[in-house]
Amino acid sequence: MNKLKLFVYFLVLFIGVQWIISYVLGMITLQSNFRYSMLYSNKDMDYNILCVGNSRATHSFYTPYLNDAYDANAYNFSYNSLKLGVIKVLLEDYLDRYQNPETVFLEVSEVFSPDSANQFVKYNLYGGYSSRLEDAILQEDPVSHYITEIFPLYRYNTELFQRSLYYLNKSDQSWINRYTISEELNLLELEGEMESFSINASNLETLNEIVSLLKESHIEVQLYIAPYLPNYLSHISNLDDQLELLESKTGLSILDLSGSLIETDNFSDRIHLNEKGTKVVGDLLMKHVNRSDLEFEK
Amino acid sequence: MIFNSFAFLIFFLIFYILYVSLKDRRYRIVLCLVGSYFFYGWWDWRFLSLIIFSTLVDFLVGKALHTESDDSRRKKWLLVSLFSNLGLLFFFKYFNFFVDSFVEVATTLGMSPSVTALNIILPVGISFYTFQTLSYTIDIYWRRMEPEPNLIVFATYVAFFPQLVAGPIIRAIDLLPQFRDQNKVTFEMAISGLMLVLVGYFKKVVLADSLAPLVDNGFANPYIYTSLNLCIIVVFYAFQIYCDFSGYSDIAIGIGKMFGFHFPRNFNLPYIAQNFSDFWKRWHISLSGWLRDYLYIPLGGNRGSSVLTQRNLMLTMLLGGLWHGANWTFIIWGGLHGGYLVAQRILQPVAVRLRGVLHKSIYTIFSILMTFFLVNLAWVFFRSQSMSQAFDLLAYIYNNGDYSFSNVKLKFQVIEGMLLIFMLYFGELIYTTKPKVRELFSYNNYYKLGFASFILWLILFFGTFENNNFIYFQF
Repeated sequence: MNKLKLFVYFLVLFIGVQWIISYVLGMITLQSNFRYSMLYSNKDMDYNILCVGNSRATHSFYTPYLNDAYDANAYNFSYNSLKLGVIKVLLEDYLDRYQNPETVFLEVSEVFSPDSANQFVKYNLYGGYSSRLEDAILQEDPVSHYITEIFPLYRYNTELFQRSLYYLNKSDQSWINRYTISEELNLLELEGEMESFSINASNLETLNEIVSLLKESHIEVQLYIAPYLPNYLSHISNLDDQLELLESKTGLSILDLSGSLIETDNFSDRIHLNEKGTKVVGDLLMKHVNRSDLEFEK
Repeated sequence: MIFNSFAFLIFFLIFYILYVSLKDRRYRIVLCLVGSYFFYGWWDWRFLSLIIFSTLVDFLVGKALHTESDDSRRKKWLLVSLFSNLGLLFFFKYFNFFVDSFVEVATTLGMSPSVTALNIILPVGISFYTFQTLSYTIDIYWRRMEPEPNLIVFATYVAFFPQLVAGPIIRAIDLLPQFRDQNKVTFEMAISGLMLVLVGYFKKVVLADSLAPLVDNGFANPYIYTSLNLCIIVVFYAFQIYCDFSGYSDIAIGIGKMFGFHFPRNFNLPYIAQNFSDFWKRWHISLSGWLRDYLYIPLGGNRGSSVLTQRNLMLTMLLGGLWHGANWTFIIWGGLHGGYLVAQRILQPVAVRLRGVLHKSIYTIFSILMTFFLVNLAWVFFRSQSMSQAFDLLAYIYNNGDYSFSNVKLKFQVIEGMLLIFMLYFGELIYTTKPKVRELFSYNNYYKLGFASFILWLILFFGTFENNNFIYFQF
């Protein structure tokens, strides 16, 4: 009897309290100003311009500068290692909830990633707020899905939750690399081996689905590729060819900014810009938004 | 089969139900033996033959050592055990290393030897069970114990799965009597064992596996990090290996407890050690105790002159380093620790004078920090794949000179790692130094289960579930 009492006590404590903790953490998550918490909390998110992509988009589209300099009403919706499949789900959820943006900038370097796994489970934090995301997680990783069903605390085992906490009382749009690549590291890039990019067929298919989704919603899609550190770019043998091929496969022109910055002090590492570089790229992107109702040029 | 795998969970559940259902000690031992062979064979059944070979040799040698009265014949029997056990260890673990080193030296001297290395797989746990079986024959040789009359019991001692592949190294004199006695499993023991198992899993999946990606990347690409970043990565490695290895030990000790066995503690807050002899009383206690009793003391220990003592210390630590693996980095690691122990003895008068001058708490903090710093310096070599990798990392720390936290990469993971390390160490410190806290958890099952829930929440919230192997499996 005593053992049974102990067992019940343990179950109530472990399972029950865990549900209560999860409920509180869920409320905190939706209070946050982190981009995806904003998306699923139905806060005011009606932006004219969105930028999506992986870390190269995160660190090439600095909205505090763009909104200030161009009065652009832009929002960076990107995240480190954000896969195209996840982008599609996030954009679908965005379009369901908010007014359509006029332009979406999509940084395309993820198309060249050899890895086509979408890793929806990393976005498990928001699974409870999006049936699309929930279905995708169930399909991709049923074990994680069912663990989350029984132990909802597992949902918060992600860097996204930490970011939600970090951006609880401040905007996440100021997130940018503020350091510059060292000269030593820059020179080291010269010693690197030649690399070649190739389009991942599965990623291309998802990219085309995203493009179709946006076009059907009458949203202007601007594909672009962010700058690479010149010493690294010189070791990519076929980027121009691959971008040309990508243009033909998507039917869209790609704004090629890969070699647009030649000064090293615009970069934080070989593939990411710093604040200075981001502002220059922001100016270049804004020049390509060809819309008469937005006064981008100062 | 590794402890943090789904296969082990199923295996353990079935095994445990069978174990507690059997009341007869003899049946339990047979079950332990069959289960242990299954556990080991899951990895590669072919290597079971090595364990069985070592078991048979040492069982027979043990008997012969006991019955033989002639000293020279007894010595020969001991040599049979030493050669067969260490011979296997040498072949599987060190053969290629010595061949490669020989070729390198010969090439440097202008020769071109045509020796080819073999493609040898290192059997998991060979270093651990070799030392266990050696303790059996050496102790019988020294007449410290009598041989085990029952082959099944002895075979179970050699292959007992909780501590088979990564320790603790439990001597025959401590474990064999426990197999002979009726191991009563009480509900309290099962709960206490389960608590230890959970703490071990917490250390492994929450700390060690979360720190691993940062450490791996830092050692592989030091040039992309700042000096402060690399210092943090080295400290993270110190805690990764501590949590990985002590986590394994906790799981092993906890499982043992659930079966009614008492395994000795293998770690005792090593990073609060105030000097290096203190560190080695707290780190991998079963190995350092083994090296002390079966190597350092037979070499003469500290019974001879100061120079001889220092030679013995150096030799013991160098061999201790080599025990970890066939790489110069491990030898340097052992050499550094040997050097630290020698320096500690030489600088003893200075330390005494310093203790007299400084406030006690300042001296204690200074000693802990100094020991921790030097232990970390040695870890750089231990973790590196090669000597050049270790020197590269140290050179980047020295040359970069950027100690600003704002330039640290992956701040979220770094801050999370720091918080978790603090939580673990603070918790362990309180539990170890406050007897009242220990008592609270010893007698009250409600507290125990409350704590178990807390650990499980932390595992759910922070755990990394990628079936990462334990670091010490490679040794």
